[in-house]
Amino acid sequence: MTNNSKNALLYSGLALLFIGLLLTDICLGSILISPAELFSAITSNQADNGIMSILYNFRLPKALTACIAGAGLAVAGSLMQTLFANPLAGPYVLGISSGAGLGVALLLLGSTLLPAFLIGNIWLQIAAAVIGALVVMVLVLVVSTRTSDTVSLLLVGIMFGSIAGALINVLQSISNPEALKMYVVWSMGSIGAVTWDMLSIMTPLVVVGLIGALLLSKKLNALLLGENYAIGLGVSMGWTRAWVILITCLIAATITAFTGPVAFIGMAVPHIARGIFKTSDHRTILPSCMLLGASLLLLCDCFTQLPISDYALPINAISSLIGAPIILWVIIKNKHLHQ
Amino acid sequence: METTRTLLHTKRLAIGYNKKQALHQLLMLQLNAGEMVGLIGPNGCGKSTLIRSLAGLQPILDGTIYINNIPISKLSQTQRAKSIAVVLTDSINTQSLTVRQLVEMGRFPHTNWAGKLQSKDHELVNKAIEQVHLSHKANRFYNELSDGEKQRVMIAKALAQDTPIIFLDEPTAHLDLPNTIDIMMLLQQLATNTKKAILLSTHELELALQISDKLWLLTDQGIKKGIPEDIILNGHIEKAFKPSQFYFDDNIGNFRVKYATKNTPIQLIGDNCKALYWTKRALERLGYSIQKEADCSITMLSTDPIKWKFTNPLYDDTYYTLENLLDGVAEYLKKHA
Repeated sequence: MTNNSKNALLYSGLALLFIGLLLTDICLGSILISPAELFSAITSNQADNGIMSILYNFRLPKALTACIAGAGLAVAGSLMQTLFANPLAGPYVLGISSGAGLGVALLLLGSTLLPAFLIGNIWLQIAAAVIGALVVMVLVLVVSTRTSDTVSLLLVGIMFGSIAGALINVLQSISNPEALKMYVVWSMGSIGAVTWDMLSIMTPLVVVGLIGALLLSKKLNALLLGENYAIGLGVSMGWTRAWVILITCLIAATITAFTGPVAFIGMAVPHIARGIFKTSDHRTILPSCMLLGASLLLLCDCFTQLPISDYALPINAISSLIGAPIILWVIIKNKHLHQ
Repeated sequence: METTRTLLHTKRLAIGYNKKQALHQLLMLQLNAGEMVGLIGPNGCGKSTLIRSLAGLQPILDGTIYINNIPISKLSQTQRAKSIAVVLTDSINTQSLTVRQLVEMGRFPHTNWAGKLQSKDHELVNKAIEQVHLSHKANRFYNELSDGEKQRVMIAKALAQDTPIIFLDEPTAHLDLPNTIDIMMLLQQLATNTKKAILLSTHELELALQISDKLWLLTDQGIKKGIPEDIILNGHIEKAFKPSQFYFDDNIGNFRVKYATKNTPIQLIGDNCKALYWTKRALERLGYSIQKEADCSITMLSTDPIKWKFTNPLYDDTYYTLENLLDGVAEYLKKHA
């Protein structure tokens, strides 16, 4: 029971950190909002209209997007690391994000055949992203059954990512200018570009995925022992694998469809969570991944607002700067990586 | 004799990877409560395949497996997991699971969707950890344990699963001799005390002969079943293992190395005792053939202190250590034979 109270303490600490980062992120931006202004905006109706409008139209949706994307990507990463039994797995490194990108590119660039009204359809974009992600995920999974070497699998992911990138390039060069413009706008998408309308689609989809992941906790724990032991414990591997893939793709692809690729969060956060809670139990790790993922992406977003330049820095670059060193640490620390 | 309860049996079971070319077929096997069955056989004879097939980890080619007279195909995956627990050779590659958390996994088929443990589950987990003598390490991380301890954790997991049947695939591979004996004795006691049916495949033939209640000897020609002594007396082990470098000494139930003989006859004289036995072993190891009569002879003069006399047609000499004796013999043969 001491373990439970220790976990409760850790969770409260993480929750405080999360709230702190959330408030900081809301305050930071091209116009700095002081904590006092934020407080009065929340508590009184007489607040400055300008600040209210900044908060409502820009800061809040951006912060919420960071929370959902961070939590979602971290959980997707955790699912993939367990499914592939590979500490280096994650939606970005294994090419799932690229697959989602390719799906959207095919839709926007390749589909001169589609009626015009379908092109801008956000649901179609999500579907394309999910299908693209699923295709890459299944391909990587098939290859992963042929090689048990964790580093090879990583290379496979990078190759699929490269193929997807190359195909997108080909599509870009043969498509008409109008479609190209539409795609470029999408591909530059950042968490700041997500509107309330988009959030109202993205949030439920990701939340469904997160709940699904939590429901799979017990089976994911059994998977930690390897496929054969899991079957021995009564896990139906076919169904479990299918569900994990589906949920991972739903989460990762939905997020990618709205924010563009965000690197390394999915891969790095599960390691931080396991390090803090000193366990691999998904019933502990998945909720902590959500808190930590949201916190880390909020932190990344805070860094993009640092007053080095007049423009916000790309979040993908910041998340790489923070996430990649964590992965390097994992590689160096993990002596059994070649098993 | 008390009647034994059959927990698992098979009818016309065929196993392997290719329907046209089954590894083994028409297997009629039977596992009884309270019995430890040793599955032995030469490398590549299909020990693991049989265990994996019986455990439902790989599809069977033909026939039926029954658990408590119910065909296994009629059981749900959870019901199956409540009947059979497995310990495999797969290495567990997880950074941060404690011994207790791993053993708790054994409760998987018995808990609700969230895997919440009730007090009964905790009890069984504690008991399982006690049974494998790991209570003092229950909160240590699995990957910090020694190989023998890791194997005991997996056995505890199987015990916590609370099944009437346990299959173990090579549970003593990679273990040193003391750990191997420890695990084998533990399993034997578990079978007797808990009335579980335990099937384990092993390379430790001599130990399996001593500890198993029954043996399944898997060969190219099929499977031989019986108590160890019958299997030996019928010469099945000799036939199954056709080694050139060693032979099965069915007088003592051990494998012995076949030494390259020099065909130098030597006579060994003395009362049967420990010193004589080891003198014989040393001579055999060096390739001398021990004969009833020979030109050269070694006589045990006394055992306290140990003293040997080497007699040859030219001279005789007395030695106080085996090493000196063997050197003396070699020297004579080099000069005069």
